[in-house]
Amino acid sequence: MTKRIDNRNPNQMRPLSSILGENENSDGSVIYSQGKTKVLVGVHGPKEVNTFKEQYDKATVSVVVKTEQRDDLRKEKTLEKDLKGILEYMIFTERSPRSEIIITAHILNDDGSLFSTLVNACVLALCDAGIEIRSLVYSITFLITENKILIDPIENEIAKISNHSRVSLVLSKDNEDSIVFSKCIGLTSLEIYDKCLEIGNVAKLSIRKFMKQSLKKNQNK
Amino acid sequence: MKRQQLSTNEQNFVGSSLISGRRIDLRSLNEIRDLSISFGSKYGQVMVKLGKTKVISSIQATVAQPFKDRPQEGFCRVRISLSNVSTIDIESNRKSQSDTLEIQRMIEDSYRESRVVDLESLCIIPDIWVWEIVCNVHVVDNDGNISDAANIATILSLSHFKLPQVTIKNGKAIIHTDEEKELIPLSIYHLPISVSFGLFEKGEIIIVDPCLIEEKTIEGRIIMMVNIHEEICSIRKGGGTPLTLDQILYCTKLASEKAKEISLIIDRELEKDLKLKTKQEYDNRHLISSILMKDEQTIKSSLPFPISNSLEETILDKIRNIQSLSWTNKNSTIEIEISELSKFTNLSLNLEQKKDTVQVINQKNVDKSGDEDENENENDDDFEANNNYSDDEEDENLNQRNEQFKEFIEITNILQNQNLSKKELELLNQLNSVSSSNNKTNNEKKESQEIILNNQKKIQNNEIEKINSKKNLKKNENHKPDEIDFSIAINPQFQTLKKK
Repeated sequence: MTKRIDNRNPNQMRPLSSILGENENSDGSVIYSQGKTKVLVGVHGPKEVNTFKEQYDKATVSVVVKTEQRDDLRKEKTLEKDLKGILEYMIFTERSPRSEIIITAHILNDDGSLFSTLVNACVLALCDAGIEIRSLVYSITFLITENKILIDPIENEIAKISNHSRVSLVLSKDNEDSIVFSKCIGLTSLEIYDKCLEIGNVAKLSIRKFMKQSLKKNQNK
Repeated sequence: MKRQQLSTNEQNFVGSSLISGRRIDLRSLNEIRDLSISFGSKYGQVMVKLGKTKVISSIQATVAQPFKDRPQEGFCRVRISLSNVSTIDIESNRKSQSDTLEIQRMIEDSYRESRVVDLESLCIIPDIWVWEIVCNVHVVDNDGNISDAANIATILSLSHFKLPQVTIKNGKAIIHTDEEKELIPLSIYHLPISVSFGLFEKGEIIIVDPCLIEEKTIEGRIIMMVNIHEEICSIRKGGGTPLTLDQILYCTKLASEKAKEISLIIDRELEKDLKLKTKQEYDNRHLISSILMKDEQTIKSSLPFPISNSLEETILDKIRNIQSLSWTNKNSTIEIEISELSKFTNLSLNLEQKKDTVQVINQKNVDKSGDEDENENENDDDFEANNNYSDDEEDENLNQRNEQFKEFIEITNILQNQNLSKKELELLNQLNSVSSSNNKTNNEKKESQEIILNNQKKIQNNEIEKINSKKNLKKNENHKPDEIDFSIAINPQFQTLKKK
């Protein structure tokens, strides 16, 4: 197998690390990083909400994403919208009607596969805050070049490899091979998409292992 | 749960305890909270923790047109914003920033007027192109005294940041990437440090570095920015109880003392981070952590990333073994480098005689002998303990220490190599014989260190070959995912060793 720019195999993810519960003023928080992409997510809720946002049977979920430089407002808004769709499925919003759950994410460093770090971090932060969720959800991005599939790309790879396309998946373990969210940028064939699913279903187990470890470790504090 | 105002009970408690000379978090009136600093992976990314207030900052450099009346000056701007995460009572559509505008203006104006950054060095082509440097600060957790934390964060990120080089040919400016030419740091003249005071009892009681609860009960504030050379960069007093001249002079003296303390810490952290020359170390910086030798609970909670239970136990065992050695102080730090997350854990000792009240993610110290090999292994630090001992100490203690040092080497080697072959046993014996000789000269010491280093390199090579042989059996040609390891890719240092 040919090695990538940073000496990884095509099947190898970057090291994950997380620090939970450091923020005093939020109900749940996490500083999560996959390799060098680092993200800080804080959760407040359920709490009071304005009347024009209020829903009589559910809690409203609002997501705020902030980049370091506040340059690209369009990027922030697309990320917010995507995240909101995933989190509205995940959270048991029926348990707390007429309330609001606010999730804010600060991007500390962007080094490729930003979307999947955000999703994984949001999951950890919600668990830290104690909000009820249906199931854990795991997200992975793939970079596809010339019939090769690379997991968890880095910004250098994305910039230097031409004719690439990206697939980012959010998977859960409820039923086998169940997809919560998927986004494809660029041309991908169905066969390659199937392969990505296969690889993703194996990779989600290691992410799950990591999440459980980090949550357990936080319990003992 | 809204907590915009404190209850009267809390206010009275804070007030009455201040009158009797005590603060809520058991500090003295003139004491600052613990400072901890960590740098990000790009130049200019900093996270600062002053007690429980946390602040993030990063820098962006773009090319812009200069003002017409100042065609050779660049721009240096600061933006501070409170994030939603930092307060308990928040709204998701928060747009008001009046809390932080005051601090933002104070910092930006004082930096410009007192000439912290040399603006003329930011010029590319006069009257056409000029660097504009913007420092974005986000307050991520508010526990009082945002101004001090934001100021420290801006200073650190400005002095940590590096600009790309620019060459001018035929009237065109070419900006080089960092692979073509090295990055240049900014030219900074001095570092102003802000110290904020809380006033109470009509100015008779003056607190340094108020926390959030204190901020809501004090009657007035005064913020002073002072640098090491005891020059005042700005004083800001926005209302509140009036002060006499004597009280203001007392504040300036206190501020200069605190500025010296803080600037020492800042310089030390900057030096440590900028000394990382090799790129590998810079990339793997987030894996290295240093832990003060304290209770087991603090050790467990201070590891920044989660580790399996078995690894934790091995680390704790090693630490207990080192703690039992009598020549280690309570205030010495241990550096742990975890490579491949479950396979190697190397421990090293750094005896620092000063007290470290700061818990920081550090990297290893540079070799004090001055020899900078290309393959600076982690094992270099095992022998810093030897270097720290001066020749003035008596011979009686040397024997004891050498025996303990033998034990230390045995422990580290055994933990690295669980199955020792015959060759390795011979090497261990060599190590023991080398360490037991007294009255060494400097040359002999260096030779012994080189022998030990080479031996350990050989041991590592043997292990690497074993691991790689196991991995080769599992490789398939197709992309069949059998095992996805979220472990780190093998440190390329080991690969270069293998080639030799």
